[in-house]
Amino acid sequence: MIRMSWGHRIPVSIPRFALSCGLAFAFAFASTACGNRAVDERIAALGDEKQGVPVGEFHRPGQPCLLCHGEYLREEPVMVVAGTVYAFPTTDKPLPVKGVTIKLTDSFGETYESGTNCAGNFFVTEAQWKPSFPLRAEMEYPVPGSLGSTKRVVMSTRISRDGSCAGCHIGAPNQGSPGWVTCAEAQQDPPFPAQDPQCPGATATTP
Amino acid sequence: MPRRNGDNAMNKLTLVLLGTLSLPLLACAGPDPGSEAIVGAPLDINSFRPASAVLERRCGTLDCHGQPARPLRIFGQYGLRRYEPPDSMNVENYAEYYSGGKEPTTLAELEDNYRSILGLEPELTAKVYAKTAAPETLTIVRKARLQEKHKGGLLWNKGDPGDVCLTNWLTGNTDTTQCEVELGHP
Repeated sequence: MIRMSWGHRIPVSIPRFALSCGLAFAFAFASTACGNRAVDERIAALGDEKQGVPVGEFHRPGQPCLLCHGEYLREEPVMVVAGTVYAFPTTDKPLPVKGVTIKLTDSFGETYESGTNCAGNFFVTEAQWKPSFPLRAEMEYPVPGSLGSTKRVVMSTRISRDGSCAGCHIGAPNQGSPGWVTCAEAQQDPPFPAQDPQCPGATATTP
Repeated sequence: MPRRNGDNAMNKLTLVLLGTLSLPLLACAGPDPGSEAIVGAPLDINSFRPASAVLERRCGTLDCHGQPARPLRIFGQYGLRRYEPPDSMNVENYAEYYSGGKEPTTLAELEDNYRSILGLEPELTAKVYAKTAAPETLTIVRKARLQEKHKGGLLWNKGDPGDVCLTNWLTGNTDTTQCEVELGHP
Protein backbone atom coordinates (compact mmCIF):
# COMPACT_ATOMS: atom_id res chain seq x y z
CA MET A 1 0.00 0.00 0.00
CA ILE A 2 1.39 3.39 -0.97
CA ARG A 3 0.31 6.42 1.04
CA MET A 4 0.61 9.65 -0.93
CA SER A 5 1.53 12.92 0.81
CA TRP A 6 -1.96 14.31 0.45
CA GLY A 7 -3.40 11.40 2.31
CA HIS A 8 -4.74 9.18 -0.46
CA ARG A 9 -3.85 5.54 -0.46
CA ILE A 10 -3.08 3.57 -3.60
CA PRO A 11 -3.66 -0.17 -3.24
CA VAL A 12 -0.34 -1.26 -4.80
CA SER A 13 2.56 -2.93 -3.06
CA ILE A 14 5.87 -1.07 -3.19
CA PRO A 15 7.79 -3.79 -5.10
CA ARG A 16 5.04 -4.03 -7.69
CA PHE A 17 4.91 -0.23 -7.99
CA ALA A 18 8.70 -0.08 -8.45
CA LEU A 19 8.54 -2.84 -11.05
CA SER A 20 5.80 -1.04 -12.95
CA CYS A 21 7.79 2.20 -12.95
CA GLY A 22 10.89 0.38 -14.10
CA LEU A 23 9.06 -1.29 -16.95
CA ALA A 24 7.43 1.97 -17.98
CA PHE A 25 10.81 3.74 -18.08
CA ALA A 26 12.42 0.85 -19.95
CA PHE A 27 9.64 0.87 -22.54
CA ALA A 28 9.83 4.63 -22.93
CA PHE A 29 13.61 4.49 -23.31
CA ALA A 30 13.50 1.66 -25.81
CA SER A 31 10.85 3.36 -27.89
CA THR A 32 12.68 6.68 -28.07
CA ALA A 33 16.37 5.80 -27.97
CA CYS A 34 16.75 3.25 -30.76
CA GLY A 35 14.17 4.16 -33.38
CA ASN A 36 14.51 6.44 -36.35
CA ARG A 37 11.21 8.17 -36.79
CA ALA A 38 12.01 9.35 -40.30
CA VAL A 39 12.64 5.80 -41.50
CA ASP A 40 9.77 4.36 -39.44
CA GLU A 41 7.35 6.73 -41.13
CA ARG A 42 8.64 5.82 -44.58
CA ILE A 43 8.23 2.12 -43.78
CA ALA A 44 4.71 2.65 -42.45
CA ALA A 45 3.82 4.54 -45.63
CA LEU A 46 4.64 1.47 -47.72
CA GLY A 47 1.45 -0.16 -46.49
CA ASP A 48 0.57 -3.82 -46.12
CA GLU A 49 1.56 -6.72 -48.35
CA LYS A 50 -0.50 -7.18 -51.50
CA GLN A 51 -2.95 -10.04 -51.23
CA GLY A 52 -1.81 -13.19 -52.99
CA VAL A 53 1.85 -12.20 -53.06
CA PRO A 54 3.89 -14.15 -50.53
CA VAL A 55 6.77 -12.42 -48.77
CA GLY A 56 9.80 -13.20 -50.89
CA GLU A 57 11.60 -12.21 -54.05
CA PHE A 58 8.44 -11.16 -55.87
CA HIS A 59 6.88 -8.98 -53.21
CA ARG A 60 6.62 -5.21 -53.08
CA PRO A 61 7.93 -4.35 -56.57
CA GLY A 62 8.79 -0.69 -57.00
CA GLN A 63 9.27 -0.08 -53.30
CA PRO A 64 12.53 0.94 -51.61
CA CYS A 65 13.70 -2.55 -50.58
CA LEU A 66 16.46 -1.48 -48.21
CA LEU A 67 14.13 0.36 -45.88
CA CYS A 68 13.46 -3.08 -44.38
CA HIS A 69 16.24 -5.19 -45.92
CA GLY A 70 18.96 -2.65 -45.10
CA GLU A 71 21.15 -1.65 -42.21
CA TYR A 72 18.27 -0.24 -40.17
CA LEU A 73 15.83 -3.15 -39.75
CA ARG A 74 18.11 -5.84 -41.19
CA GLU A 75 15.22 -8.03 -42.31
CA GLU A 76 16.58 -11.20 -43.92
CA PRO A 77 17.99 -11.28 -46.48
CA VAL A 78 19.97 -8.12 -45.82
CA MET A 79 20.56 -6.41 -49.16
CA VAL A 80 23.08 -3.91 -50.47
CA VAL A 81 21.37 -3.04 -53.75
CA ALA A 82 17.86 -3.91 -54.87
CA GLY A 83 15.13 -2.60 -57.08
CA THR A 84 12.62 -3.12 -59.85
CA VAL A 85 13.04 -2.58 -63.58
CA TYR A 86 10.11 -1.52 -65.73
CA ALA A 87 9.72 -1.30 -69.49
CA PHE A 88 9.03 2.37 -70.12
CA PRO A 89 7.75 5.44 -68.25
CA THR A 90 4.00 5.56 -67.88
CA THR A 91 1.41 7.16 -65.67
CA ASP A 92 -0.54 3.87 -65.68
CA LYS A 93 0.57 0.62 -64.08
CA PRO A 94 4.22 0.14 -65.07
CA LEU A 95 5.19 -3.05 -66.89
CA PRO A 96 7.92 -5.09 -65.15
CA VAL A 97 10.62 -6.65 -67.32
CA LYS A 98 12.05 -10.11 -66.70
CA GLY A 99 15.57 -11.12 -67.68
CA VAL A 100 17.28 -7.75 -67.34
CA THR A 101 20.93 -8.04 -66.30
CA ILE A 102 22.06 -5.44 -63.78
CA LYS A 103 25.81 -4.83 -63.71
CA LEU A 104 27.23 -2.91 -60.77
CA THR A 105 30.78 -1.64 -60.37
CA ASP A 106 32.05 -0.30 -57.06
CA SER A 107 34.62 2.41 -56.41
CA PHE A 108 37.45 -0.14 -56.37
CA GLY A 109 36.43 -1.61 -59.72
CA GLU A 110 34.81 -4.79 -58.37
CA THR A 111 31.78 -5.85 -60.33
CA TYR A 112 28.68 -7.89 -59.56
CA GLU A 113 25.79 -8.95 -61.76
CA SER A 114 22.21 -9.72 -60.90
CA GLY A 115 19.05 -10.35 -62.92
CA THR A 116 15.40 -9.39 -62.71
CA ASN A 117 12.64 -11.92 -62.10
CA CYS A 118 9.11 -11.89 -63.51
CA ALA A 119 8.12 -9.12 -61.07
CA GLY A 120 10.99 -6.98 -62.39
CA ASN A 121 12.70 -7.34 -59.01
CA PHE A 122 16.41 -7.92 -58.53
CA PHE A 123 18.52 -7.84 -55.40
CA VAL A 124 22.08 -8.29 -54.23
CA THR A 125 22.48 -9.52 -50.68
CA GLU A 126 25.15 -8.48 -48.22
CA ALA A 127 26.31 -12.11 -48.14
CA GLN A 128 26.86 -12.08 -51.92
CA TRP A 129 28.70 -8.77 -52.26
CA LYS A 130 29.88 -5.95 -50.03
CA PRO A 131 30.59 -3.06 -52.40
CA SER A 132 32.34 0.20 -51.66
CA PHE A 133 30.13 3.08 -52.64
CA PRO A 134 29.75 4.95 -54.94
CA LEU A 135 28.54 2.43 -57.50
CA ARG A 136 28.22 2.63 -61.24
CA ALA A 137 25.13 0.90 -62.59
CA GLU A 138 24.22 -0.32 -66.02
CA MET A 139 21.72 -2.82 -67.33
CA GLU A 140 21.12 -4.91 -70.41
CA TYR A 141 17.55 -5.67 -71.32
CA PRO A 142 16.27 -8.19 -73.86
CA VAL A 143 15.15 -6.31 -76.96
CA PRO A 144 11.48 -7.18 -77.57
CA GLY A 145 10.94 -9.41 -80.59
CA SER A 146 14.64 -9.98 -81.09
CA LEU A 147 15.78 -13.38 -79.88
CA GLY A 148 18.95 -13.13 -77.77
CA SER A 149 19.59 -9.49 -78.60
CA THR A 150 20.10 -7.06 -75.73
CA LYS A 151 20.43 -3.32 -75.34
CA ARG A 152 22.60 -1.55 -72.78
CA VAL A 153 21.46 1.35 -70.63
CA VAL A 154 23.90 3.18 -68.34
CA MET A 155 22.79 5.19 -65.31
CA SER A 156 23.64 8.88 -65.76
CA THR A 157 24.91 9.33 -62.22
CA ARG A 158 26.34 7.01 -59.62
CA ILE A 159 24.66 5.42 -56.65
CA SER A 160 26.20 7.27 -53.74
CA ARG A 161 24.77 5.58 -50.67
CA ASP A 162 21.20 4.31 -51.02
CA GLY A 163 21.04 0.80 -52.45
CA SER A 164 17.28 1.03 -52.96
CA CYS A 165 16.58 2.02 -56.57
CA ALA A 166 13.18 3.27 -55.46
CA GLY A 167 14.82 5.52 -52.90
CA CYS A 168 15.21 7.96 -55.81
CA HIS A 169 13.46 6.30 -58.78
CA ILE A 170 9.80 6.40 -57.91
CA GLY A 171 6.62 7.37 -59.73
CA ALA A 172 6.58 9.74 -62.66
CA PRO A 173 9.58 12.03 -63.26
CA ASN A 174 9.51 15.22 -61.22
CA GLN A 175 11.88 17.77 -59.70
CA GLY A 176 12.96 15.28 -57.06
CA SER A 177 12.93 12.00 -59.00
CA PRO A 178 13.85 10.79 -62.48
CA GLY A 179 10.94 8.33 -62.27
CA TRP A 180 10.96 4.53 -62.28
CA VAL A 181 13.99 2.64 -63.56
CA THR A 182 12.99 1.86 -67.14
CA CYS A 183 14.58 0.06 -70.08
CA ALA A 184 13.35 2.42 -72.78
CA GLU A 185 12.02 5.95 -73.00
CA ALA A 186 8.75 4.72 -74.58
CA GLN A 187 6.93 1.57 -75.62
CA GLN A 188 8.71 -0.10 -78.54
CA ASP A 189 7.67 -1.84 -81.74
CA PRO A 190 7.42 -4.79 -81.31
CA PRO A 191 6.23 -4.04 -77.78
CA PHE A 192 7.58 -5.33 -74.50
CA PRO A 193 5.84 -8.62 -73.61
CA ALA A 194 3.12 -8.59 -70.98
CA GLN A 195 3.94 -9.87 -67.51
CA ASP A 196 3.67 -13.63 -67.03
CA PRO A 197 0.22 -14.17 -65.44
CA GLN A 198 1.72 -16.98 -63.35
CA CYS A 199 4.08 -14.51 -61.67
CA PRO A 200 3.08 -13.92 -58.04
CA GLY A 201 1.33 -10.61 -57.87
CA ALA A 202 0.89 -10.33 -61.64
CA THR A 203 -2.57 -9.01 -61.04
CA ALA A 204 -1.56 -6.89 -58.12
CA THR A 205 1.80 -5.40 -58.94
CA THR A 206 0.76 -1.77 -58.88
CA PRO A 207 3.48 -0.18 -56.76
CA MET B 1 10.82 56.96 3.98
CA PRO B 2 11.17 53.22 4.03
CA ARG B 3 10.79 51.49 0.66
CA ARG B 4 8.28 48.79 0.20
CA ASN B 5 9.19 45.36 -1.04
CA GLY B 6 6.98 45.96 -4.08
CA ASP B 7 9.15 48.94 -5.15
CA ASN B 8 12.33 46.84 -5.03
CA ALA B 9 10.70 44.15 -7.11
CA MET B 10 9.52 46.75 -9.64
CA ASN B 11 13.05 48.21 -9.93
CA LYS B 12 14.54 44.79 -10.52
CA LEU B 13 11.93 44.03 -13.15
CA THR B 14 12.67 47.32 -14.92
CA LEU B 15 16.39 46.54 -14.98
CA VAL B 16 15.77 43.08 -16.38
CA LEU B 17 13.46 44.48 -19.06
CA LEU B 18 15.96 47.16 -20.04
CA GLY B 19 18.72 44.60 -20.22
CA THR B 20 16.62 42.27 -22.34
CA LEU B 21 15.60 45.04 -24.73
CA SER B 22 19.16 46.28 -25.18
CA LEU B 23 20.46 42.84 -26.18
CA PRO B 24 18.89 42.83 -29.65
CA LEU B 25 20.20 46.36 -30.20
CA LEU B 26 23.73 45.18 -29.50
CA ALA B 27 23.25 42.12 -31.68
CA CYS B 28 22.11 44.19 -34.64
CA ALA B 29 25.17 46.41 -34.63
CA GLY B 30 27.03 46.42 -37.95
CA PRO B 31 30.22 44.46 -38.59
CA ASP B 32 33.47 45.65 -37.17
CA PRO B 33 34.95 47.97 -39.84
CA GLY B 34 38.34 46.45 -39.22
CA SER B 35 37.17 42.86 -39.73
CA GLU B 36 38.54 40.85 -42.64
CA ALA B 37 36.28 40.54 -45.67
CA ILE B 38 35.53 36.98 -46.78
CA VAL B 39 36.35 36.60 -50.45
CA GLY B 40 36.09 33.19 -52.05
CA ALA B 41 36.30 32.20 -55.69
CA PRO B 42 34.00 34.56 -57.61
CA LEU B 43 30.82 33.33 -59.27
CA ASP B 44 32.15 33.34 -62.83
CA ILE B 45 29.63 31.17 -64.65
CA ASN B 46 32.10 30.13 -67.37
CA SER B 47 34.55 28.61 -64.92
CA PHE B 48 32.03 27.53 -62.30
CA ARG B 49 29.60 25.68 -64.58
CA PRO B 50 32.09 22.87 -65.41
CA ALA B 51 33.14 22.56 -61.75
CA SER B 52 29.51 22.52 -60.68
CA ALA B 53 28.73 19.91 -63.33
CA VAL B 54 31.35 17.61 -61.80
CA LEU B 55 29.91 18.12 -58.31
CA GLU B 56 26.40 17.59 -59.65
CA ARG B 57 27.39 14.22 -61.15
CA ARG B 58 29.63 12.98 -58.37
CA CYS B 59 28.10 14.53 -55.25
CA GLY B 60 24.63 15.77 -56.12
CA THR B 61 22.88 12.44 -56.62
CA LEU B 62 19.42 12.24 -55.14
CA ASP B 63 20.55 9.80 -52.46
CA CYS B 64 23.36 12.05 -51.27
CA HIS B 65 23.91 15.80 -51.58
CA GLY B 66 20.91 15.98 -53.88
CA GLN B 67 18.70 15.53 -50.84
CA PRO B 68 16.98 18.70 -49.65
CA ALA B 69 17.89 18.16 -46.01
CA ARG B 70 21.58 17.37 -46.40
CA PRO B 71 24.43 19.88 -45.94
CA LEU B 72 26.19 20.91 -49.16
CA ARG B 73 22.92 20.67 -51.06
CA ILE B 74 23.61 20.45 -54.77
CA PHE B 75 21.03 21.11 -57.48
CA GLY B 76 21.46 19.95 -61.03
CA GLN B 77 20.09 18.48 -64.23
CA TYR B 78 20.64 14.87 -63.14
CA GLY B 79 19.75 15.28 -59.47
CA LEU B 80 17.57 17.49 -57.35
CA ARG B 81 16.00 20.40 -59.20
CA ARG B 82 15.55 23.72 -57.45
CA TYR B 83 11.87 24.35 -56.81
CA GLU B 84 10.47 26.58 -59.52
CA PRO B 85 6.81 27.32 -60.26
CA PRO B 86 5.61 26.61 -63.84
CA ASP B 87 5.79 30.30 -64.82
CA SER B 88 9.32 30.76 -63.49
CA MET B 89 11.64 32.95 -65.55
CA ASN B 90 14.57 30.79 -64.41
CA VAL B 91 13.48 27.82 -66.55
CA GLU B 92 13.33 27.73 -70.35
CA ASN B 93 11.52 24.44 -70.90
CA TYR B 94 9.46 23.56 -67.86
CA ALA B 95 8.29 20.24 -69.36
CA GLU B 96 11.91 19.05 -69.23
CA TYR B 97 12.62 20.57 -65.83
CA TYR B 98 12.82 17.40 -63.79
CA SER B 99 15.57 15.18 -62.44
CA GLY B 100 17.22 13.69 -65.53
CA GLY B 101 15.25 15.95 -67.89
CA LYS B 102 16.74 17.86 -70.81
CA GLU B 103 16.65 21.29 -69.15
CA PRO B 104 20.27 22.05 -68.24
CA THR B 105 21.25 23.21 -64.78
CA THR B 106 19.81 26.72 -64.51
CA LEU B 107 21.65 29.88 -63.46
CA ALA B 108 19.57 29.94 -60.28
CA GLU B 109 20.68 26.40 -59.50
CA LEU B 110 24.31 27.32 -60.19
CA GLU B 111 24.05 30.26 -57.80
CA ASP B 112 22.62 28.02 -55.11
CA ASN B 113 25.39 25.47 -55.64
CA TYR B 114 27.96 28.26 -55.39
CA ARG B 115 26.49 29.38 -52.07
CA SER B 116 26.38 25.77 -50.82
CA ILE B 117 30.10 25.27 -51.46
CA LEU B 118 31.32 28.60 -50.14
CA GLY B 119 28.96 28.48 -47.18
CA LEU B 120 30.56 25.32 -45.79
CA GLU B 121 33.76 26.97 -44.56
CA PRO B 122 33.67 30.58 -45.76
CA GLU B 123 36.78 31.90 -44.04
CA LEU B 124 38.88 28.89 -44.96
CA THR B 125 37.61 28.95 -48.54
CA ALA B 126 38.72 32.58 -48.75
CA LYS B 127 42.19 31.61 -47.52
CA VAL B 128 42.42 28.84 -50.11
CA TYR B 129 41.39 31.30 -52.83
CA ALA B 130 44.01 33.74 -51.56
CA LYS B 131 46.50 30.84 -51.56
CA THR B 132 47.32 31.32 -47.90
CA ALA B 133 45.95 27.85 -47.13
CA ALA B 134 46.21 24.57 -49.01
CA PRO B 135 43.07 23.16 -50.70
CA GLU B 136 43.22 20.01 -48.55
CA THR B 137 42.45 22.11 -45.49
CA LEU B 138 38.89 22.23 -46.83
CA THR B 139 36.46 19.52 -45.77
CA ILE B 140 34.95 19.31 -49.25
CA VAL B 141 38.35 18.44 -50.71
CA ARG B 142 39.27 15.94 -48.01
CA LYS B 143 35.93 14.12 -48.01
CA ALA B 144 36.00 13.56 -51.76
CA ARG B 145 39.49 12.07 -51.39
CA LEU B 146 38.27 10.00 -48.43
CA GLN B 147 40.98 11.56 -46.27
CA GLU B 148 38.12 12.21 -43.88
CA LYS B 149 35.15 9.94 -43.08
CA HIS B 150 32.66 10.22 -45.93
CA LYS B 151 29.48 8.19 -46.18
CA GLY B 152 29.55 8.62 -49.96
CA GLY B 153 32.97 6.97 -50.13
CA LEU B 154 35.96 7.75 -52.34
CA LEU B 155 35.16 10.02 -55.26
CA TRP B 156 38.68 10.58 -56.48
CA ASN B 157 42.28 10.60 -55.33
CA LYS B 158 44.52 13.64 -55.13
CA GLY B 159 45.53 14.64 -58.65
CA ASP B 160 42.67 12.84 -60.39
CA PRO B 161 40.70 14.89 -62.91
CA GLY B 162 37.78 15.56 -60.55
CA ASP B 163 40.14 16.60 -57.77
CA VAL B 164 42.09 18.94 -60.05
CA CYS B 165 38.83 20.39 -61.38
CA LEU B 166 37.61 21.22 -57.89
CA THR B 167 40.88 22.53 -56.49
CA ASN B 168 41.49 24.61 -59.62
CA TRP B 169 38.20 26.37 -59.17
CA LEU B 170 38.72 26.85 -55.44
CA THR B 171 42.11 28.47 -56.05
CA GLY B 172 40.92 30.72 -58.86
CA ASN B 173 42.48 28.75 -61.72
CA THR B 174 40.06 29.01 -64.63
CA ASP B 175 41.44 25.99 -66.52
CA THR B 176 38.48 23.62 -66.68
CA THR B 177 40.05 20.94 -68.88
CA GLN B 178 40.12 18.37 -66.10
CA CYS B 179 36.44 18.98 -65.38
CA GLU B 180 35.65 17.89 -68.93
CA VAL B 181 37.89 14.83 -68.48
CA GLU B 182 36.09 13.87 -65.26
CA LEU B 183 32.70 14.33 -66.89
CA GLY B 184 33.84 12.05 -69.71
CA HIS B 185 34.35 9.17 -67.30
CA PRO B 186 31.58 6.58 -67.41
